[in-house]
Amino acid sequence: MIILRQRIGYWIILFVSLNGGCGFLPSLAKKIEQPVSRAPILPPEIINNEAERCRTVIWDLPSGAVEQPEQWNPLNRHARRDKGFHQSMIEPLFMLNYESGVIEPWLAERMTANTIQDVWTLTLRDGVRWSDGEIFNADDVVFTVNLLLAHPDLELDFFAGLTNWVERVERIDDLTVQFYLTGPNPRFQLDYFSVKVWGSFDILPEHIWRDKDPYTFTNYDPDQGWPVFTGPYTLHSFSPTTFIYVRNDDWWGAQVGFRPLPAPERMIWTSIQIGDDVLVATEHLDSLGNIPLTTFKAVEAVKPNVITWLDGMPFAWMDPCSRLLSINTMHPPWDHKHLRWAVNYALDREAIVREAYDGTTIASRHFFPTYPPLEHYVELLEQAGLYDKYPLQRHDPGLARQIIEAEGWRLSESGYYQRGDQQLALTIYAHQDSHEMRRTAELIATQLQAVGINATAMVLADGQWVEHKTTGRFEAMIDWDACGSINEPWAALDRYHMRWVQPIGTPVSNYNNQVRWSNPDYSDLVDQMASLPLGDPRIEPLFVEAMDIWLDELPFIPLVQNKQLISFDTTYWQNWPTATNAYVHPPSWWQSAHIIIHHLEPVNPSP
Amino acid sequence: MKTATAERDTTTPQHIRWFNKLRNASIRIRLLIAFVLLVLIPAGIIILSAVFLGFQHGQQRVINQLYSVVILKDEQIAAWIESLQLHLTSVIYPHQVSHLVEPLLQNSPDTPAYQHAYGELRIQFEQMLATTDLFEEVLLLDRDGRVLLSTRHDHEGQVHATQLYFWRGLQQPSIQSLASATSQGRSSPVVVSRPVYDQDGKAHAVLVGRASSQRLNDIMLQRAGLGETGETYLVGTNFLVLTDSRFEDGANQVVRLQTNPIETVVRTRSTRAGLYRNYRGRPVVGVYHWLPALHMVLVAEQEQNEAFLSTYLILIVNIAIAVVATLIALFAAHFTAHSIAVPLADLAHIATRIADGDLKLTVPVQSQDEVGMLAAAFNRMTARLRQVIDNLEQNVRELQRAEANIRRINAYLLRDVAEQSALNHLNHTLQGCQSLDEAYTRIIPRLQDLFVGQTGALYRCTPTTPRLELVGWWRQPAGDVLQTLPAACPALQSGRRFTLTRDQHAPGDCQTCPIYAKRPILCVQLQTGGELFGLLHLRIGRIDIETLHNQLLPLVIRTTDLLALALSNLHLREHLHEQAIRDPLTGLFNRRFLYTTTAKMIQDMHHQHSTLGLLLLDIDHFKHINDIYGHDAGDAVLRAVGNVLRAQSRRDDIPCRWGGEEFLVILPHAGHQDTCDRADMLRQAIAALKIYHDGTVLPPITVSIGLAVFPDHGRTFTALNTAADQALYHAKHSGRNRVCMAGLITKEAS
Repeated sequence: MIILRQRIGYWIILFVSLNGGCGFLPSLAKKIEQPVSRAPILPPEIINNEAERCRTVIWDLPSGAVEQPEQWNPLNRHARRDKGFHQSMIEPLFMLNYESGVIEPWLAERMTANTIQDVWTLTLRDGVRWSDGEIFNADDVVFTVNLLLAHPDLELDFFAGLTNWVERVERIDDLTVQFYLTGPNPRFQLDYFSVKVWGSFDILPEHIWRDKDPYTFTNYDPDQGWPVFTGPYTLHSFSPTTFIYVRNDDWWGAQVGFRPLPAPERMIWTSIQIGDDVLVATEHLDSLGNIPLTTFKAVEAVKPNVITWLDGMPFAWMDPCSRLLSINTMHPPWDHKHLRWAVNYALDREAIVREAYDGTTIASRHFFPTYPPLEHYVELLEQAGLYDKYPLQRHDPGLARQIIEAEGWRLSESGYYQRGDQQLALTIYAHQDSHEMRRTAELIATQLQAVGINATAMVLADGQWVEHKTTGRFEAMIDWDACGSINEPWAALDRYHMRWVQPIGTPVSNYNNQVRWSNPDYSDLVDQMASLPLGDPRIEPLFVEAMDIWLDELPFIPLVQNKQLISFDTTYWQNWPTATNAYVHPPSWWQSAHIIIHHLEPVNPSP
Repeated sequence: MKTATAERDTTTPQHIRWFNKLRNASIRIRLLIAFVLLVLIPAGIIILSAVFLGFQHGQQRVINQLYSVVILKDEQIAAWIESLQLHLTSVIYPHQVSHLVEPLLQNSPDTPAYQHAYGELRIQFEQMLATTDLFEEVLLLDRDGRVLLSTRHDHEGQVHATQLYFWRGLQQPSIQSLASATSQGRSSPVVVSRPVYDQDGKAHAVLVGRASSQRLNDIMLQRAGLGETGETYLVGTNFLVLTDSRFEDGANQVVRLQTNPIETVVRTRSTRAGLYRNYRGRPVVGVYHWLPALHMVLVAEQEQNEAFLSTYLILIVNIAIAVVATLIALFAAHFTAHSIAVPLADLAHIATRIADGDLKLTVPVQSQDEVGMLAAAFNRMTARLRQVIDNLEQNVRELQRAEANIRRINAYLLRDVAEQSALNHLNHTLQGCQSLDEAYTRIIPRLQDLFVGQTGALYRCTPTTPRLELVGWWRQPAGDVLQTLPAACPALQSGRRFTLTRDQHAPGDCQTCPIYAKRPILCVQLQTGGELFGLLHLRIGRIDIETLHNQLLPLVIRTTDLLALALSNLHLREHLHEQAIRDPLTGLFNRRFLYTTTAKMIQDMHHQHSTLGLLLLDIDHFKHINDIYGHDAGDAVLRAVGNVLRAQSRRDDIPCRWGGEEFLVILPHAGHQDTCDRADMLRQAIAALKIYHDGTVLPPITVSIGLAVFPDHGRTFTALNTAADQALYHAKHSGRNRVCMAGLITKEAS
């Protein structure tokens, strides 16, 4: 049985990635092209009043102004979550803390599975209340899951696949819900109810949503106090560029002893535009999303209290989504693995690090992020001698030429290889809003041309990029679609399972296996890994065997790690996450920012 | 020359120019440089080797010391880990599992059994934390990895299912660095775990202890003999510094350490040492040591300034000694070079002046050493040189005079050779000429070659007039040349071989000569055997009288003699030839001439596809004239007919006396009609002749003419002659005084 398992909100990964989540900010990128900085629109009674300012945290809105600011329905694709919506109002059931490596319970207390792991029992935390005072209980969970089962098209990408896994859901008691799955799934809790990258499945208040049309309901009515969620902040006011939330002093967590009330009394998310004067754009910000190194240097020069994850080069925190050169394995002549290896040997990753990333990242030796738990698996490959057998990081243009010529291609007078009437050419697509990926594509094109491949870099707007990527109408792309694994290997490997393969022209789901690589042996090994619990040592040999196949075929090529240069200002607030105070990972636009908010402390407590 | 040198200088590489300058420097400078090199090179080698070996030794000594520290710290860490395991084991004794752990696993939190066990176990956990100070947190995990109990209450409920220490802890006691368990932070460094077994020996919970970093910090911060700048710390596989620094507080510490050595150590799980800049940017010498139990790198390092201080001191003293010794050697070298080079420089200066010509100078002899002996020898050599030079100068003057004579004689010889060559050429040219006309044509260029620088002309005698006609001239305008010389010209007078005019002494007649033109003229007769053949006329350029008489005039005489002799021979040859081919009575060509020319003529006609007429003419009744009027009258008739034929002939026609009273005329390019017309015209002209003999008029004569035309009547002279003879025969028998074409036409006398 082929089960559509959409593990992570990849649509949101895409969104977040292009909007700062995984590497850069299109709005900022555009702003960099603009010569004039634009100051955020902030209430003067706050920014001009020191006492009020000390009570307020101001975050940048990394993905820019919000097109439908009045949309607060979290199932609606136009409801922007990073406007503070899921950082301050929507609380998850669980959260995976990248730094401690543990799943932290939030609205839920625990989730346990039966022996064969096809029945999962969710136990909610006692005492949780919605912001309107209503009790949060199992009915809300069951209502939301059933709402989704009734309308599977509402399933968002970052919890895509949930409706395929859940056969039925039952309320056991006020705090207990039981999920009956369509098959064993040891990762059910982690994949659907724990915040990993970006967000997770949101529970809705049944008492408000019960009679609403989930397609048209905006969930916004200030007279009735909507939107209603469980978070420690409620909506105060908003505009397309600025969203203000105030602390709910009756927040359930403080009352039941889960956590104290967060220190900030007010939260503001605002859109900025960095141009010629970084101070104008960033002066009032306490948090600034991912920016290029040069921009950060300019910010640092005018805001001396700015800190980053590391207080020296490369400053940045490593994003979980490393960058790849994906090659369409259905598109001849690139369906030949030897040619893909020739491309790999032609690549100079250090040049990409140096010239596209200003030296702030490192070259990849695997498509995993260089997180220590995953490095453990990469070391298994080294110990097994796979990197001697497949020298992935070797830059050897001469060898690349040899491989191409062994495939029957001959160098023509044009300087490019030719076989019969066919010239060896490769078009590399890159997203137009990513300076770093555009530059990467250009560098790779130049490197490939140097070995006789007529490579060209082509920039696509977001819509075209998604269309070409999902339908397979591409030869090569710069992307990050092996993203998924954080502390265990299966999630990323499963994305290249042959079950996801579609013919060219038919979109793949959730960006899985857009390179259309079909290998039964590899897929079988991935299925075996899926049946084992997280962290089970028996996964290790299966992983090594699968990687042997993957390295041999090399359907996509790891390029570099992706950095997140996120900065925080310690003028008003302190205890931001850094490498020396790594209580959680630092992306401020993910739902995991809840943890950051609860850790913030005022530098000068107001009287 | 200067420009070329400068250009060569600019194209020569700089180091070559320097080398050349050095090579051409004074002996003093070169001696000094040689001394300096002899001193500095050994001194430099000694100093560099001392520095290198000193550093090597010093570095190895420091690294050995650092290794000792690393081993000490490693042992301390091992003891600490053992202590962690030991104390974690003691937090729950096996006999307590049933009443402290199992109630937590088997009951819900709101049950008394759970709460009792929870309370008891928490007390034990907290007591252990308080008494050992080894852990910052102790946790009890169920088989799903969920925290049942933690000394940090807010961590209860967290799930550790993704962590290796949980999975390993289910199997056996284990230790893991959190630097390898979390993503990128600098967390509490070490976690120990161990299984909690039930009565059946099955692990149904995991006890986890998160070690306090304080003890590890204490171990790392202990000085351990690394001086004021040395320290030890731990670095994770994520290259973050995990323990505190002696020199930086946590807030300001740069926590990332990613150097090539540490990357190698992390990758190869090995131990390395080297020089590098540490996390504070200070140059240090350090040792990286992989700790397999913790998956961390233990770094022991010391700033190079301190580590190598004693090495530096020794080196400085050694270098100072070497520098002083070198300076002394340099001073000694300077004085030695001075004492050698100054006398040599004086000697060179005097030698230079002597070389410039001042041979009276002598070098002062200042010492008795090699330089003094060299100066004395130099003076002796200079004296001998003066004498030799005087003798040489005398010899040279004599040689110069002799050389001038030789040059003059050589010039004469060369000129004579050239003149003789030109004369030979002229002679050869004349020898090759077949006729006088050809000779005169070819003489002029030769004369031009012979008399270089002179203008001139050549005149020839003509048999018909007493004047001399111009043959040719050279190097003068045609208008300045007379076409004929009058018989009264002084140069033509007999007994006067040559006539020379000069500005003031020219003969009176020559003053009026149109070609005199105020320039001297030399006119020389061409005569041999008293017969004058012509005159060579030269306009003499600027030439002295001696040269004129000694050189030019003999050459002209020799030339005219040669010309006269050659022209005389040609003249004689032409005369003899005429006699051989002419009939002496009529002056017409004779039969021999015809035989030698007609074959070629017919061949030419054939090649030109042309025709040729042949007339065979016979005087009618000639015997009768001879018989009546005598042979003299017959000869007169023959001469008269011959004159008619000669007078009526065109340029190419060949009139010939064939024999007796027969004549033959060849008419090249004449066809049937033309031949007939010409024959008839001759017949009529002869018939109209009035021939006088001895004062009487002889009776008129007629001729019969037979005609033949090539190729219609024959293709050879013999065939044509035969055809014409038959036609003549026919004319005779047809009544005479008529023209008859071979076989076809008989034109009667009108």
